[in-house]
Amino acid sequence: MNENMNITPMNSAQIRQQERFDRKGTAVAEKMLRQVRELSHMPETLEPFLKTLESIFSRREDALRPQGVPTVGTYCVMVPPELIYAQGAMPVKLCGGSYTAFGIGDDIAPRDACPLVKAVMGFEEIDAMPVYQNCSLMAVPVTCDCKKKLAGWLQERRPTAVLHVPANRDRDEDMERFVGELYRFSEQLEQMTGFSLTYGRLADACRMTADAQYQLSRFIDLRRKHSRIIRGSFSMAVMNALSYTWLPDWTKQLSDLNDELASLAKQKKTAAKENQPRILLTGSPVIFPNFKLPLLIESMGGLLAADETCMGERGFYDPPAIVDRTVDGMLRALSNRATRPCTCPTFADNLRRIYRIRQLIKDYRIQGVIYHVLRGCLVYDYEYRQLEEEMGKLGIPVIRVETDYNEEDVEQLRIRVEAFIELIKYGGKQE
Amino acid sequence: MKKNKILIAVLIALMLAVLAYFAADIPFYTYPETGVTASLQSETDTELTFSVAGNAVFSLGWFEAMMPFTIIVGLSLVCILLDVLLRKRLYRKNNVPCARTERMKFGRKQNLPRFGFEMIRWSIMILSFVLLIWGGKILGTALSSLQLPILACPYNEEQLTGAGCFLFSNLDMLAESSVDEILWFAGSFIVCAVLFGRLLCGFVCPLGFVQDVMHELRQKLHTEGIPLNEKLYAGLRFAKWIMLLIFLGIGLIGGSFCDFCPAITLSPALAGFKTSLYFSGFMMVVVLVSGFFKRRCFCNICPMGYLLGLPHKVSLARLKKNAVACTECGACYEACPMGIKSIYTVREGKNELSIDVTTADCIFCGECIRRCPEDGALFMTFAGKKIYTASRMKFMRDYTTPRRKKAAENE
Amino acid sequence: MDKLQNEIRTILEQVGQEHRGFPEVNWFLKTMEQAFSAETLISEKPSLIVLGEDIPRELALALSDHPRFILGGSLETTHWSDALLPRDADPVSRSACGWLLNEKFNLAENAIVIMALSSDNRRKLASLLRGKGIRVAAADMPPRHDTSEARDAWTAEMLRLADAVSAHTHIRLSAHRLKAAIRRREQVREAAIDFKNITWQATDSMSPALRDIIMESVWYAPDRKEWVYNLRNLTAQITAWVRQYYHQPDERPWVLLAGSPIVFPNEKLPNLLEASGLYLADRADAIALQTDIPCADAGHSVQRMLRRTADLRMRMETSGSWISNDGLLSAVQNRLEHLPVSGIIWHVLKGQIEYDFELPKVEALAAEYDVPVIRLETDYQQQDVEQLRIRLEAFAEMLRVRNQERIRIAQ
Repeated sequence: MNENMNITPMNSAQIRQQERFDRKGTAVAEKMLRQVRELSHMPETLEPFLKTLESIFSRREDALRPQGVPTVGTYCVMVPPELIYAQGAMPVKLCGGSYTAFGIGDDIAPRDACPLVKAVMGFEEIDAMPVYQNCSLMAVPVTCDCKKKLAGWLQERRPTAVLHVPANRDRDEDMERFVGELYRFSEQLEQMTGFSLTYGRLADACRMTADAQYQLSRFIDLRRKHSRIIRGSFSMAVMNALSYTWLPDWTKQLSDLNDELASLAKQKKTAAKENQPRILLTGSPVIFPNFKLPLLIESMGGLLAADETCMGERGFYDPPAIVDRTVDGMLRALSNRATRPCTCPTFADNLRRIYRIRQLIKDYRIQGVIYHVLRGCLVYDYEYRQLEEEMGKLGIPVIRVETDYNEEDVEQLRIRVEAFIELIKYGGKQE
Repeated sequence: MKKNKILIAVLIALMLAVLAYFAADIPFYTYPETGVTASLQSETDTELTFSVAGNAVFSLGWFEAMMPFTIIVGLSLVCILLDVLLRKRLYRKNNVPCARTERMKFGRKQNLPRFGFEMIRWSIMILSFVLLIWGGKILGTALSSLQLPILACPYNEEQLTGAGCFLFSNLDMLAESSVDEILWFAGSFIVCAVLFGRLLCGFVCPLGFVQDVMHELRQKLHTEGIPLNEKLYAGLRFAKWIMLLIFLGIGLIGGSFCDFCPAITLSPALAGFKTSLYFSGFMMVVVLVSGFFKRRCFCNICPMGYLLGLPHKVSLARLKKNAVACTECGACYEACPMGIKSIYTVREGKNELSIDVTTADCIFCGECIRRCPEDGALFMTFAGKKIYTASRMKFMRDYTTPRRKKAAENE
Repeated sequence: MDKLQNEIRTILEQVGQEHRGFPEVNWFLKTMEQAFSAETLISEKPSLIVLGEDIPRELALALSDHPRFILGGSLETTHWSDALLPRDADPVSRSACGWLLNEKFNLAENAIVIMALSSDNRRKLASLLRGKGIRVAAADMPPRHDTSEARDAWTAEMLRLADAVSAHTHIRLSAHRLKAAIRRREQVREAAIDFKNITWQATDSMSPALRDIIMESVWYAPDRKEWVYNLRNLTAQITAWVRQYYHQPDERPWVLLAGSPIVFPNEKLPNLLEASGLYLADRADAIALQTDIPCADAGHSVQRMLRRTADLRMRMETSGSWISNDGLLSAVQNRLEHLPVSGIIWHVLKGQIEYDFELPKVEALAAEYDVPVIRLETDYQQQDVEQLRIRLEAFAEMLRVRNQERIRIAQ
């Protein structure tokens, strides 16, 4: 297995490809960040999050962390960060959002594979993203078909841990099987870092994530009570930055942001006007720098009030409910959290997602839903029909927006999003 | 495969029944006959007169009375230690990637105890423990006609109230009692069951208190317990039916449940009554050990609890759920000592935002609400008023770094 | 409904003429026609429906005497499910959904449907069918096939299916039934292998399309014993014919059709191959390869037999549910070793992306044997027939030239 260092010298074509990747990758990231910064009412305390994204995608540095801590690349929310932190490593969520990497991966992966997987394959080929390159271990939960094949593909190139996520979750033994997977994963982590899983370390890690989730709960609470306090694109930036930030740092940054928002709330300042339609974005994940859709929504006069995507709020929403303060009890809680409340459509029965969306609609007084489907993401596409029916019952307009990792369809999307927002403003459900 | 299961089930039932019937012949700790201990015939009088004074606490007589209980506690601790050490050895030998028991170190309470439902419940439990065991000494015998339907043990003649369990398990004696007696018995049972239902289990029963103490002990020591799943809970429920049959039936065929019931080891001994123990001693060891590894294990099979739970559809305490806010995270199921899965799976109901999920098993300990991370997804009502609601911020505060420590870290 | 009947009838009539007058062939054609006839579809209400080929057939037969297998092969049925499924769903899933959810017949009325969740389409199909009120029991396939935990998981999932089906049909899965089913399956396997061998000896005895339809008819035959009997007869007839007449050696290049399965009545590709002058020697896809997998030697208990089945199947099975489809690669390699294969046609159905991921490995493997691979992506529609024909004719030409070169070099 290639230990990811460039042993063979690159030929001129590869060098050119690398240079093109550097140029275009930086350009796209810079452009997205600039568009985020240009949005009105950006809180000052959002800057550290944007700086993280800048460092990873624009300057292509490695994730900032204490000396000597290895990184574990994770894909999907089912990999518990608590376990990785407990054994002395740092998790970085590597689901790919980069257009340039996608372009490279397009040649390697089958044509109809999802762009996320193509971007990851692009990262592997191009050898120019330290946050990807320097990972000592890749943890891939086997959820959808593309992730499954990605796991096999990565296994041939790097040390990979494969986690079998149960597709059925009505029986207790399904959840307990995942506990076994976590124990096996823990052994692989131990081989990598040398730290074994003890109660003290796991309790400390759980406390660390609990602090972070506490701040996230505050953030959500503020947005629920004062629904126009912050733009959705900024929230997306906050959640995306989590993937690459050392958790206590992220907690501190979010705590500062919460304090600023609380003071803004006291002064009754809002980021959007009352008549701006409140939109919920759900479906395939929105991963930086693919911020096309959130930016479009907010620049066309809407407010992205909430999102139900796994790189957004869902990526860190569910806390592990530790009922038994032992190692086994904590792992059980982590397994429970990864399987039961998860609204990933790769589970055979995903009715809870509809309820979740209904609750979000209630909490944030949502007026319209944009269903985001990445081209090639079959599982979200399957669920669209049922969601459309449910939204019909509630009288909330839904549109299905299919997009890919390139900038060619921005204009078409703009027209559709604009029309949708107009529809809500003048014809749809008015609050 | 099913044939085997039925065979095993029948064998276990027979074994338990035989043990219960011959319980009087399996001595655990017997006192020499002194002719001073009172018999239970005096229970049938509506006014209890002290024919024998129990020993004062910490007197020599009291220590003598506490002897069997001390032995029970000692045996339980030995069993627990053995189990833990055996498990550690087994895992080390097999290199099995599963529960590793942690070195026994006493965990520091990280977070300050917060005033809330949990604290109220513990206070009421401690209060009722004290009152039920020594209440007669403190408050006199005014309430002794009240036959509280819990396993509080009438052998303790200084109990604040009577205990309905005795007459339940000796239905023939009930039939021969005076009308007054029957009315008090039936009346207290109906009133308690309908008004409170299994709230008594979660707040009042001293045996429940002892089990909760064992559970907290395990939490402090961070020792692995035995998590149950559907199949194992189904096994426990089967044991409950057997216990119920024994409870109601053993009196009719000539045995006595009191020689089998674990509660007899607790209450009389603490109050200073020298009570000879038969099979109950062993049962109490089982209760303590199983309660250590599984929260409130005995409550799952308690026959008195089952009877209390029968009128759960009309009792005043109710557990309700908001199906839209619920994310089906299963934390309530994991936390529930009685293994009630329906709180987490039920989604349909007349009013989605307030579905009644009270079941016959629920002891209203409130753990499900405490561990529910969604605002308002689960709530407990008493006589229509919400007394405990799930709250995300309160949930998080159970797990975050306490403020004092955080402030210290920040400096 | 008529269109479906037309589709079936057309294919059966066509292949019915593609053999050298063996009367036994008619039995198979009649069986297929019977299984898909309007009367059968409307009146037959099986109690067990198996969706897909990856539930072991012996298990299905042990659970129910007449299970219905839905492999998903008709173009007409894909139209029936258009409204329910997204644009990119693969035609096999579309067809399977159409078979179960349409206004013309209701196969699933009394049935429980079992399926393996081996791909995204299956996972969402399970939830879609459940949402429409069909009873579904789904087995989660572990993604690795080489670890013992995966085998335990697979066994546990099969037992889960068995429990669900037994609860519905009230037939318990006993070791006796499973043993009988395994024995029958072995007989089927042996007969099928003999049959294939004889057709290789005389490639002009019948067209590959007919041969494969005869092989596939085992999924639809009401009585497998009779099927074995008739197949042996047919094999004997062909053997006799082989001995009697002179057979010109077949100059056509032999090809393998691997990747996505060819399901009756979707005989588009086999017909095209025939028309392009290629001999379809064998198919290496999930359905055809079920014949390769040996059955577990009958054991004592259901658990042990299933575990042994897991050991055998997981090594050899080709399925999209594995992270790397080693079973498929080894099957292709096996055929490259034992058959004079000149080319491989890698068939990818639109939406079955797992085969596209395997293509590089197959190309590398084929390169070792100096065998060219061509990738054909298609679905059940007839619109791309001309394009495919052009490509296949070019491929055939290339293979012929290569073969001639090789002969010339050898001389």
